[in-house]
Amino acid sequence: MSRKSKLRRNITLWHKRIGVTSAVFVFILSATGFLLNHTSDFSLDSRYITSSWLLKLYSVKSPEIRSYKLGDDWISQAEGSLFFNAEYLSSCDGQLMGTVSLENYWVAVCKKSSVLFSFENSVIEIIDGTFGLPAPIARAGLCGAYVCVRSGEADIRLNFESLEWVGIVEQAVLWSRSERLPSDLAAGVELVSKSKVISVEKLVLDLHAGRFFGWAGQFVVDVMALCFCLFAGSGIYVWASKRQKSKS
Amino acid sequence: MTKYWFGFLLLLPTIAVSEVLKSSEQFIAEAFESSPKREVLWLNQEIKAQVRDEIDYQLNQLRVRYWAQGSRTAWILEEVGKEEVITIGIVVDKNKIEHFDVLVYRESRGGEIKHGFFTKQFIGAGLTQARSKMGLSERIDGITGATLSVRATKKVATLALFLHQQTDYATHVEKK
Repeated sequence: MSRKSKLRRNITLWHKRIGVTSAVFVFILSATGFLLNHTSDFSLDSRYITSSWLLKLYSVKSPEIRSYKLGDDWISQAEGSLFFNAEYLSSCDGQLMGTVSLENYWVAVCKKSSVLFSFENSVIEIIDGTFGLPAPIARAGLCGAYVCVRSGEADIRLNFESLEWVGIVEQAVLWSRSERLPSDLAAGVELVSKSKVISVEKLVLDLHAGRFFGWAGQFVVDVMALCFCLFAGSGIYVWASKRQKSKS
Repeated sequence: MTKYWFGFLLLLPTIAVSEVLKSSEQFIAEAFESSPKREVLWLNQEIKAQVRDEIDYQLNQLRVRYWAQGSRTAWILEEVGKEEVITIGIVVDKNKIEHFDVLVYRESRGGEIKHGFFTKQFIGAGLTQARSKMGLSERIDGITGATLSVRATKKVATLALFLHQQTDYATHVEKK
């Protein structure tokens, strides 16, 4: 056997070996690549991982929970989301600074926005800087039939019906005070909050790049990239040498 | 040193910055000659369902604020582009868009939609119905790399026209 045909035999053998080894990765990379190319079509960016073991793998930390009592119930905020007891309600811009119950609705006051809720917990509307709401709000409380807030040095009465914000001087304000959420509700809020952190898109992207398996995964993907190059190179070599052989 | 600057410049387009282009007060002041009436449109289940099914827009709240005078209404509405919310101001007069302004743009890419060459396409657009979906009567040219932002603006423009039709101002007749 000539030196050339020995080399071709070896390259053909390695071409097969690399092909078989990398086949699984080709399928994984193709499937994840396809999904990433259609992120919006499959709503991968708006769907989140809820599996507790996957969240544990991602080391998703427990959120900081800030809570206020509203009658016999609890209004909490974790990672920007508002909760009624342990039920997700809506998002709120900035840290929750208080909750106030008025005659026809209740209000969650955050640093940069206020969310008006019906007593059935439906969002009536969100009032923010677009409507000239003072910000940042440092405290919130009840003053007569209105919500009052402290923004900077000023105490301001908010009229959410007429969208008028009036400075007050001598009006007693019953300020909201944050309290510790009972542990059973805190566990519920934590679970719901954690399941809104890692999107399916991130999981697919991490699988695609090998990051899901840490540095080892990234290393394997790098090796596979090299294998693909060798596979293509050896394929071209085998094809060219066969062609040359058939011509001669 | 030059290479660091180059790296920084490459990073710039990926940094999401909330760009307030016009305050809501300024938008309303420009839209009306004198102080308009502040109004509230309550959203019943029928309106919400129609908006969801025919405009693909999710109205999560129970009421929407708007400003009105004569046959004109002004709306400040929001929609997510790719990842961030875009705030848009729209003035509707006699069921046609009279003014269209991007008030706050928060996305890192697709900022072209805030410029006049894009926003002026909406002027004069009315509401049309085709294959059980609502849309705009005028063709809006897309922008490469800003597909989702363009889609968001078209959706919000359609919503403003639809909401205008739900108000008494849509059938307002000028007194002679």
